[in-house]
Amino acid sequence: MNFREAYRILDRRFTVETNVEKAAALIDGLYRHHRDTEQSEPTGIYRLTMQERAPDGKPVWHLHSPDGRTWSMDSAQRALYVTEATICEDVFSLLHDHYALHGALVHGPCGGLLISGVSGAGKTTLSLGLHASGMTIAGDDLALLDAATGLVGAAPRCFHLDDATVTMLRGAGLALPQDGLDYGFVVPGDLGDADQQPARVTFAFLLDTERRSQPVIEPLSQSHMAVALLKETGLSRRSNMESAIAIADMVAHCRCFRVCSGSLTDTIAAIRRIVIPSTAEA
Amino acid sequence: MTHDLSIDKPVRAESAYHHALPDGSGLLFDQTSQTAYPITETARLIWELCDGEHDFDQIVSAVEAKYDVNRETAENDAKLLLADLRDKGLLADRDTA
Repeated sequence: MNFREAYRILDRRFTVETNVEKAAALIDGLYRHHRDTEQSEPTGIYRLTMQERAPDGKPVWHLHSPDGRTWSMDSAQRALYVTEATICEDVFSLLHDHYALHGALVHGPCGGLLISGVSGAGKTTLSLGLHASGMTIAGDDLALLDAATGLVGAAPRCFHLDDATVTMLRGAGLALPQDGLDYGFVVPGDLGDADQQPARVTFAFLLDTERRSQPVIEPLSQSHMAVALLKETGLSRRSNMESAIAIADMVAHCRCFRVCSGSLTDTIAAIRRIVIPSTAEA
Repeated sequence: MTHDLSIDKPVRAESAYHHALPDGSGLLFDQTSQTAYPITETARLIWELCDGEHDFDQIVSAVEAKYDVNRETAENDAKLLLADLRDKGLLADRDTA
């Protein structure tokens, strides 16, 4: 293998090996804050290889995970997607001291914003739109609640962007790297040196799948938000009761809202008016 | 089993855990079914009075006194909530309380 890098995220160590320089660079762009310089021997190796298939010479990609699973893929996009998703599933399942929350984490002027909702609700689009408006996206899709401190950090994940989303985000003023788009692998680091520090979440937004002509943002009780987050919480080594308490303790510090999105620009403006009161007065 | 709410003194199930939240709402967690339920501020007041000491009339009076509602509304709200809590297994059965 030409390229190898070791990483450590929380208490999980793993290594990525590949024979494709571009793949190594893109994957390292996602995990670069988690490089493990103390690892002497490679641990938990994810081996991603590209070969030219005879007789047509088209590339075929293979991923081998540390526990012996294998995947074959016919495009770089698919190979990177599967590699990232597999590492995410392995690394963030059954964490000892953290709860995996289904949501994006954005750093605002008054603390963290957690954007949650079911898949397809628009978490990625809204959080990237907020980033374009001057806030900082820390991570997409998966946030990690530290049970001991109540702080929430972002799990490194790439953004899954379709063409319509890219068009919308460019319309909102977000510059997206063409290189990452070509490989379907845009990561928070592509948008600037994202703030990776865990934060106290002060605003929690639950996105509804319903769309309106104008955004509708209504206060949501902390208990409703806690239950919604609990339903979307991934596996943990803690019991459901412990998860419920940890999440309830976290939302106790939040103002919670339910969001029916309108146009992206209007929804961003409406959220900014809540998070930055001076915006509403202007 | 039908419960006569007028004489019943409801008791919280031992498996039910309540977490009060600063906005007045509360989270009920049933350890048997491993299910969480959100409750409103009014429901939280009623829940807290399900201590085996207060009967239905006393619970309704407490709701009436604390919130700006008439007796009929308070009775209906309390009746619906208590029935819902029983359905979810969050109240102890009278025979075992």
